Parts: sequence; structure tokens; C-alpha cells
Amino acid sequence: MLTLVALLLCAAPEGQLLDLREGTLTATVVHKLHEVKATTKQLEGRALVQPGGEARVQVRAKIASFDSGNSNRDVHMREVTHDAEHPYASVKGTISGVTLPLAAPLSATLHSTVELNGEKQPVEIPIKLTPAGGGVRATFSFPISLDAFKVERPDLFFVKVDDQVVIDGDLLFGAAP
Amino acid sequence: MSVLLAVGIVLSQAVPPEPPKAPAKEASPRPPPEDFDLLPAEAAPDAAATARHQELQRQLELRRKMLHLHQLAGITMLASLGATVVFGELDYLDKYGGHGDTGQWHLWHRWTAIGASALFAGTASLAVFAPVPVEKPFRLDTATLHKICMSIASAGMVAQIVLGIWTANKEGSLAQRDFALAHQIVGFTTLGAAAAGFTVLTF
Repeated sequence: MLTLVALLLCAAPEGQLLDLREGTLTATVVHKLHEVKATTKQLEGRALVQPGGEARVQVRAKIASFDSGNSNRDVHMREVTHDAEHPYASVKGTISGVTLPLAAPLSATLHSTVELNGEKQPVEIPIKLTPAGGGVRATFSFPISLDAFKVERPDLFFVKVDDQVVIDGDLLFGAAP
Repeated sequence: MSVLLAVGIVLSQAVPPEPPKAPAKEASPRPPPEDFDLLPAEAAPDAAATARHQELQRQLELRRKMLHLHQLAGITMLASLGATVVFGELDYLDKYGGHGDTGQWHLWHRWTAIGASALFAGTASLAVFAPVPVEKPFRLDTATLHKICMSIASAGMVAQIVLGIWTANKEGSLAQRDFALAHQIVGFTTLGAAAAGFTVLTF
């Protein structure tokens, strides 16, 4: 048993592991009367850049951490995304052709699965990677459909928000300790 | 115990081996994007946590239903409050504006005021008694501004009921016009506060 434990402890994942240091995720929701941006800085994320150049990325944020500037609206969003049962919105995916350290900015596509409201959808996310200090800065923007994630669209004055929500991200990854 | 925990952590962070590919899937260029875990998995909820989640979701749904009705009642209330102010102004001009004190708008004003007051109380109740199952720290946002505006409107409604009855009871007194003027000013203020409370939610 102890041998097995020792072996497992030694078996670190092959490749370079990066931790999410800081970042911002913003969801832009459009209503006939106004446009609302809900932002969170409370993010968790990791990336594993493998020797072949494939990077695996996982980022998630608690739904409850998004702030739209109206507490009632935020609570409403938590309800329609079934936050009690599915507290996280997450993205997992792979990018090809990543070599660390980055010598120059790189535009790539994250072949990902986005999870929201307990539903998973495949999403191709155009992403820009730039060298930042000893790590990598990733910026991206992609639309999702609330209907596709079976999220009952919130309404204000009996007018529902648009189905499309744009997710913008600006994340800074650094080498894991 | 700590050994098992260490095993669990390592297993959760280790990249799992690629599953053997079935012949039908060999054409697929890459494995499913979600076929790995770099972050610790969420703990599976126990029975007590599941029960708490269900209760929280039930409370959130009840809250949304009540606030949905609050919007419907609020729009109706704002319309009725506007009508009350219009009929009140017509009543004031009829009595003190040289239109012969015919009293033709008096009952219109009275009944729209009664309707608006009842709607105001109902609308407020839907918001005040809606459950708040998640912590909402106080801060100055549009919801707070809405509450401030509607608190001013609530004070105005109470003042209007008192002033309206008082003004009606001063019939035949010279002071009635002063009370009517105060009633008019507070009425416009109340409508303004309610309209501002409505408008602030559109931002």
C-alpha cells in the first residue's frame, strides 16, 4: 500500500502545470431596456502544457460570485442556473501548438466543453495567448446560448433577456509552485 | 486516513490514461475536451446537503414568483398612482382654480386613491415578504436605490392618506386650501419617488 502511495506521489503529471493567478470573467446579458455586465474575479483554473504542445485547460467560477450591480438580479441568476445544485460554471478544453515559454503572442482555438446549469455544450473558443512575466495571459470572448444550457431566461417587466450571452475573459496563468 | 487523502488528491490531479479507442471512434482527431480534471473535484453532496439545496432552490423559486408578481403589481400601481395624481390635480383646479367647484373629479380622485393605496400595500408586501434565502450584503446598487425611492414613496402614501382625509374634513374652512396644497405637493413627490424607483431598475 505504501509503495503504491509512493509511486502515485512521484507520478507528477507530464508537462508544465500552470495555475490561474488572477483574472476576470464577464458575462454580458442584453435586455431590451439595457445591457448588463456580470463580472467575477473569484476564479479557479489550471493549465497543463504537455511536451507535444497540447495544453489542457480548466477554469471555473462560482455562479454566486458574479456581480451585475443589482443583488436581486444576481440572486435571480443563481435561481435559474440552479446554483444550489450546480454552483460552478466551468470550461474545460484543449489547445494545440502551445510551447512554453511563449516567444510571441499566439492566437489559437480552445476546443472546449462549457458547463452551466449542469448542462454541457461543446464550444470552440478563439483565444489569444500572450507572454506575461513568467506566465501566460489568455484573453477570449465567445457567445453561449442560455436556451442551449436549459437556463430559463430571466425577464424584467415581462421582457426576457436575449438568448445570447457573451463571455469575455482575461486570465493570467503562472507556473504552479 | 491522511494516506488515503493523499492518494485521492494525486488521483484527482493526475492525467488519466487515454481510454482504448473503439474502432468506430478512431476517426476522431482528439479525445473529448472534458476528459480530464486539473482542479479538485467538487465533493458529492450528502443527504443533508441535498435537502438544503432543494430547500434553497424552493425558496429561490418562491422569491422569483413573488418578485415577478411585484413587478406586475408595481406597474399597475404606478399607473393607478398617476391617475390619482391627475384626478387630484383636476379636483384641485376645479375647487380652487376658478372652475366653479363642481366636484366632478372628486369621486374619481377618491376611488383611484383608494385603489392606488391598496395596490401600493400589496406591491410592497410582495417584496417585503419575499424570502431572502441567500446572504445579500448591503451595498449601493440599483436594487438599493429602488428600495430608497420606494421608502420615500411609502412615507408619501401614508402622509397622503392622512392629509387627504384631513383636507376633506376641513370643508368650509379657509385652511382647507393650505392642506389641499400640501396634499398636492406630497402627491407629486410620491409619484416622482415611485416613478424614480421604477426607472432605476431599468439600469
